[in-house]
Amino acid sequence: MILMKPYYRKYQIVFLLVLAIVTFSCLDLEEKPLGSLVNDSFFKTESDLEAAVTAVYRPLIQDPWGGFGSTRIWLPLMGADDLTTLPGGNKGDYREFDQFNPTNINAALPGAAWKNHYDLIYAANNVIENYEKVDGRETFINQCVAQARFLRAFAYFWLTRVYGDLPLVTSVITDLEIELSPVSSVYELIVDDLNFAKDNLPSSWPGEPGRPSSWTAKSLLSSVYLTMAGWPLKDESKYALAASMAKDVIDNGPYTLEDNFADLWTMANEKNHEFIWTIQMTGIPGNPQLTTIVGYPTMPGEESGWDDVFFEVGFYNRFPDGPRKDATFHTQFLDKQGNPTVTFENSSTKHPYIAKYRDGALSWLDSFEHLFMTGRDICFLRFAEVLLTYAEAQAMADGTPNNEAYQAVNKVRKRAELVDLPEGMGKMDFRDAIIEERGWELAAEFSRWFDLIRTEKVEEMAALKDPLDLEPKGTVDKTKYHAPIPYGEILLNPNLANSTQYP
Amino acid sequence: MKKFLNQVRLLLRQHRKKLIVMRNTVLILLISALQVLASGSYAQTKTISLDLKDVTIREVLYAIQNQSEFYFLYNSELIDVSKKVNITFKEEKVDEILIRLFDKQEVDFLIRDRYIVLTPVGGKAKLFDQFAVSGTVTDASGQPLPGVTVVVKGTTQGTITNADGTFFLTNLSENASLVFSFVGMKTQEIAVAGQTRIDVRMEEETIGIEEVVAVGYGVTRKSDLTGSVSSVTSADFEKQPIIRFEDALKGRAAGVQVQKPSGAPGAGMKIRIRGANSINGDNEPLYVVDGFVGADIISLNPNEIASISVLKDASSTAIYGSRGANGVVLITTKSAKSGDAKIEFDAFYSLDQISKTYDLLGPDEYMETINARLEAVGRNPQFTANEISEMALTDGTDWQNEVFRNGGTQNYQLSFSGGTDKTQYYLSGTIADQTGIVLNSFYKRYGLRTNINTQLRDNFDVAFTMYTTYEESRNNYTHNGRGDAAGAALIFSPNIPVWDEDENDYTQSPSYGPIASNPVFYALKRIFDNKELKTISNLKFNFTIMNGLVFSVSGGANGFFVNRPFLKTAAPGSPKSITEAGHNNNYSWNLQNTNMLNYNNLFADKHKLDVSAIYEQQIFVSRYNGNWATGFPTIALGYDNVGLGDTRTVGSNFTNWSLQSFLGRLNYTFDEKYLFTVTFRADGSSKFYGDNKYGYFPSGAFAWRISDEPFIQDISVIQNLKLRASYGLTGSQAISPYKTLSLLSLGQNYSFNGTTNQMIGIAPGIAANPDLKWETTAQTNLGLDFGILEGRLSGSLDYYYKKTTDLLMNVNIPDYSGGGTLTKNVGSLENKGFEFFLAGVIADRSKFKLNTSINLSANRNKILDLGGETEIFTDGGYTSNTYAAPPFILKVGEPIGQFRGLVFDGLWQQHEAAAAAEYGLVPGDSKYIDVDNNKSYGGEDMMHIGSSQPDFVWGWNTNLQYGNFDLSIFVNGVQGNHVWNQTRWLIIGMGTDVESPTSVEILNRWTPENTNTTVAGFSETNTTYAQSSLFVEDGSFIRLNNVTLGYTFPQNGLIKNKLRNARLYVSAQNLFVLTKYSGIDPELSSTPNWSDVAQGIDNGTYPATRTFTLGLKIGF
Repeated sequence: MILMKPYYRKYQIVFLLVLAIVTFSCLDLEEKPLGSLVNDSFFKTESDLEAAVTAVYRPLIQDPWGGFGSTRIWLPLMGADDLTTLPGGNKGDYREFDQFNPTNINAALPGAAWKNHYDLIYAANNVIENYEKVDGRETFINQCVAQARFLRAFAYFWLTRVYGDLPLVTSVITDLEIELSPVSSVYELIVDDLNFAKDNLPSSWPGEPGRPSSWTAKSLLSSVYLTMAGWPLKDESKYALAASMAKDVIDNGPYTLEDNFADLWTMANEKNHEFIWTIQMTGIPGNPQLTTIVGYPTMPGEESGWDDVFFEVGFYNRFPDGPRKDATFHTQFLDKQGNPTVTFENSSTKHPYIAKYRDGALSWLDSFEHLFMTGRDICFLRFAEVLLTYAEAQAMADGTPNNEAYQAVNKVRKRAELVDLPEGMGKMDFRDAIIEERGWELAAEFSRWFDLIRTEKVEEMAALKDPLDLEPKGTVDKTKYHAPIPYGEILLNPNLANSTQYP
Repeated sequence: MKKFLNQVRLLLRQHRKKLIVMRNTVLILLISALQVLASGSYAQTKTISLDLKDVTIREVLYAIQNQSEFYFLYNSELIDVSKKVNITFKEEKVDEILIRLFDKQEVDFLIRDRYIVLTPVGGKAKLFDQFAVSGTVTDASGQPLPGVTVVVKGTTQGTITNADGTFFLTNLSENASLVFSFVGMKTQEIAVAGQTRIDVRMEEETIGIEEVVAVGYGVTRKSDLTGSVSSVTSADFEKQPIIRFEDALKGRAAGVQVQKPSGAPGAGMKIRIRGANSINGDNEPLYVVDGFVGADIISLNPNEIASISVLKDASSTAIYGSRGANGVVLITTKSAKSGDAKIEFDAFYSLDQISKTYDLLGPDEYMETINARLEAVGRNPQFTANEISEMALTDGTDWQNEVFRNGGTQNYQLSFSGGTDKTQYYLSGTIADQTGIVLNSFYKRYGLRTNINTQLRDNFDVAFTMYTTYEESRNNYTHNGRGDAAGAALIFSPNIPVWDEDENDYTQSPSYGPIASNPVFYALKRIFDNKELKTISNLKFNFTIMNGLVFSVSGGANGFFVNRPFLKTAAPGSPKSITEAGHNNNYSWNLQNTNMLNYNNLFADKHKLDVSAIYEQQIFVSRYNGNWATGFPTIALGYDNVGLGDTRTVGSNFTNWSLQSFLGRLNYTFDEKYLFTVTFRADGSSKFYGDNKYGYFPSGAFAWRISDEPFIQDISVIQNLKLRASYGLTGSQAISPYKTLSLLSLGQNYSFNGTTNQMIGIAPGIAANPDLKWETTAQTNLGLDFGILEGRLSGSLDYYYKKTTDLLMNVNIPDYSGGGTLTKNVGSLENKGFEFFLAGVIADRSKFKLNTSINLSANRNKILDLGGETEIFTDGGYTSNTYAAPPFILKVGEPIGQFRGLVFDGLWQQHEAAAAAEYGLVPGDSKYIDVDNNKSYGGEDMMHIGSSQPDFVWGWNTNLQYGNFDLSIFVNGVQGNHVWNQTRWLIIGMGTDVESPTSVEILNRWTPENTNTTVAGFSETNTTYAQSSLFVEDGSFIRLNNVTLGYTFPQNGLIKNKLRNARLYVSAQNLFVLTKYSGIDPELSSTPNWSDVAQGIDNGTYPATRTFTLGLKIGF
């Protein structure tokens, strides 16, 4: 060892130099996000565009406890006379709307009607803003854009009916100071989008019922026009457009009424000829496409349910008897084996529950998936509604209901085993009959509240509350027709605070 | 005299390692060794082999020492040891060797057991001629102290104590005085006065100004410090049973706040130095372990830590540049000392119990309460009177009792240390095994450490450290609300059993019960494991190029292999097929290379210069992969065979970043009185883009040792007085990589036909900000150090002002624009405060010692600018569904960490029924201040309702030693902060989450007869918001953190047992807390540790523990 010393001394400078060169090699300060995709490199190919379009659908299923597929979707619609909730306990979010006393700090509101809808709009804008960068077949690209525009219209249609004026976001570039756009501007965009969708979507998507076709776009457009004709825009010229759009769907579209009303709600028949626009859910465990509007959340406490949302007693009493009533209301509560235990009148809440969404969540049935989640598709638009839309719009446009209008509404009544509407009704009587019919046909779907506000019948229906139902707090007037914009958003952009009060 | 002492020192340095190595063996021979005339039987049996060419006699003597336990005492002025010789010995005795080595005419030798005295011929005769004295020198604890210099006062005559602490002097005058001196000990003078036996107990020097402390990229004498540095040494904490680094630091350094937000075993603590600089968060200090920057501290074993330096001001931290803004904690692990081989064994066992439980309703009271509520809202009662009275006869289920248990901690460490004069080693193995107080939670750690230093050549030494740990923990995450065992146990229905015999499963929450799963199910069947293998190693070379010029290069690697498997068993009542299991795996590493050139020299006796230039580079790479599955035909294999599931998903990711730095430091000292430090660092980080990649961080400091000025030296009461001032810039790159890049969000998949075949969806992802730059903190520090009354009282006082600009903040994007956050450089904030440290030695006698120290820090934090906004509302990273609006507010002029909510204004009383009706409310409902008077409680009515920022924090340590007993007491406290008691809201059950209250407080609810209460009555209309001032409480506390009583076995008792030392102790941690806080513990928090905006929310957090420990430390 010691003998080596001189050699070491001789070479230590070399050793030092080598060490210095090795260690002082310059470091690369560039970031390498190898596991992530960077925006700049996207939107080049058809498959990029397709992936971006798929992402527009994603918000439909993103939030099974707060969004489209959850009981919360009803939250801003609770003011209608069909649904109500528990008087006490943890249902305060629902009660606020049910009792016409909503606050802007309602914790469930952003999920029910804001965040998921705007997420969808954001993803749609991403497609609409960037599709031109893609090198691909024109038809394919147009179909992609049309899907994005259909979905954007669907989201805006929902939002403007809930809130009225909205920040009309049409770009992915963040505008922190955007002002509210009036309802009319929102509808302009919706109509534009749906027209583009109807002209560019194919008439069907074989094997992919979750995509909108040109018929889906026309059906939704008929609803949009019908709504524009009512409160708050009251643009009566739109009745004719609604009627012609619905007529096209009825005469030329691929849809027919299901023979038996109850069959619409079985899991086995969730892909059928009556559903026009559904969110596709799947109950395979681990897959996130699940809905929670089934089972416990909408079941009575007697069935271990959570009593989140159930029917108003007044509504039940007004509802005409028949197979439709039987398939709509769950009145006989069951034990875990499916044996009846108590009727709703003697139950803890004394209210009937929703029957439409029970299949798939009852443990003694083959269709059982989960006690509070299933892969049941959620239908937002079905052919019966188009028939009723046509009937109403035709009568209102032409001043008197024609034969075809009678036929349309009577088709729906017939299936419910109700007699035809009397001949020779005046236009307003006919309309009111249709609104009533829509309420029954589409009970616990997503139409009643919107029907009541567009026809300004909220106050009238609120006055009909049964003593067993929750009393309104304060006066019910037009200020309650629209929900308050979520407070968190106003904090970030105070320009959203001043929404127009429509008369 | 001086020359002699130099010789002795040289000798001491040469032999010290040997002396210590020998101690072990010699101990046994202690008594016989005292008999100085005993013949050296060792010398007659020990044989030595040598084969050396062209070496000096000195080298031969070293070689003999290295091979044997002999050591030599001689005076090199009298004995010529530089003569070169060639020698060859084979298995020969030492006297034979010495005879051949030295010329008999010149050198004589005397062998006394293992020490050999070389004297010039004739000297031997003198050795025993006259009066002789012998004795033993021990340290304060009675340990023999080798290497103590013993000099006859006024002469050059002297010796040093040998391995067993004994000395032997002859040729003395009976009136002589002996002076005993040793580094770090008080010098003692003892008159011989005719005694032949003098035993001395050396006392430690109490003034620690010569103490050496670690600073960034080096060490310095404490007296030479110009910056603000708190140091903690192992002596401060080694007597207490701790298994986490944070506990070693807690309450011991001024300006450092250590909060324990969870009682989970192995859960991390929150450490803040001088407040929080950054809103975006991570305000965690930078940890540097043995020179490795950004090292992991979670797995450190505090028993292996030699010292901790906390760098606080910019002068000390600017050398760490872009990562120094939050303060730097330098940890030096134990290094070996040359000397005899030491074996130390350390073991303790602790019993942990929950520090407090909640007072909850019994089963019958619970059922009555459920009925009362149903009745109040017009519904049928849930229970019949019969059912209730039957239940009253049983105890029901005490869920706290089912879920909380006594935990235990076992900790063992075995270490070996020692070495020769050129090579030293410290080897240690540890095991820590904790079972948590929540059922099915634990933490285990196994660690191995190797620290080796070796001097390869005169000018070239190498140090190598390596630490490898394996850690395993279960369910020790932060519990939050009703979704975990700890929270669910507080709200689950007490009238139902744990197990449902009919369903053969855990019971489900009844329809009247809370939205929660069975707490025992949560604890046992929801398994979140964490398995981590970590290794950190560092190799460092030091070359002395010329006197005073040293070049050093180090390369280090830090690797993490983390496996986080989980098993989420399907909840009772759910189909078993939805059980999920999977693994999240992370494989990351971090490499560091540091190259340093250091020059130091003293010029003209007064100008001391120390200059360093450093180039450093670090890279960080992290690879993630995960797999998850559901649809298991059986869960018998748990998460160990994920492939059994019929639906499987996988994922992976990659992140990297790198940092390149150029830095330098200049220390200049004039006349030991005026000290200057200038540092500079340039950091280039990959996290930033273009011109913003590089940041520059200069600092300067000045210190004046007033006590060395002549006019102060006359004041005998003052021993140390130093004034310090510093200013500098530090940075923070508190952002994740890729924030300047616009990334896409993957996994936005959708199935268009409701089958599992999802199409791939890609959406616009995280918003990017290419203009991001460093967050910069400028800090001014003024400090004063003092020591008076011969070191009996010492302390320091610091004032600092920090201003952070270009705050990196995650600004919320409105949901209408995609939501999420965008990282921006927005605004500025300041922290200013005082730190005070005082240490006193109250008694310092050999049998009785008492010293105490107190530290106190007060920090004031204020937001100065928010980029034009006056207020920003944020969840600060704490997401909870119980908040209707962001619970925290950032407001210009206010500190961060402010709570925001409705202001509780009592309950509506009967005479206010009309006013209540305007709100749709009835008497007994909660009333809040309606700021905008719109007859509705909304977001506009929310105000500032509390602050999680304390006024001051303090710690008080007292150590008492009486004979062989020692007692240490550690008390700490926090004053003036608020805690948001979400747990109380949860168990009162008046809000929107739990309709069935479990807290006994509900019995005091409002009724027309009981109006003087804040607990709302049952009504259809009431909402008691969690986000209100009603649940904000005073979080101040005084905690008896640790009391330890130890007994050190006396030396002579140990000799029989062949032990070097032994100490037995008992200890209690968190014995009691004085606080007004109504929850379990005011330190508990469910908010993430990294966030300072979100803090102080207690929401069913893993409870705090009280711990009793029995421990033993023995050395061989």
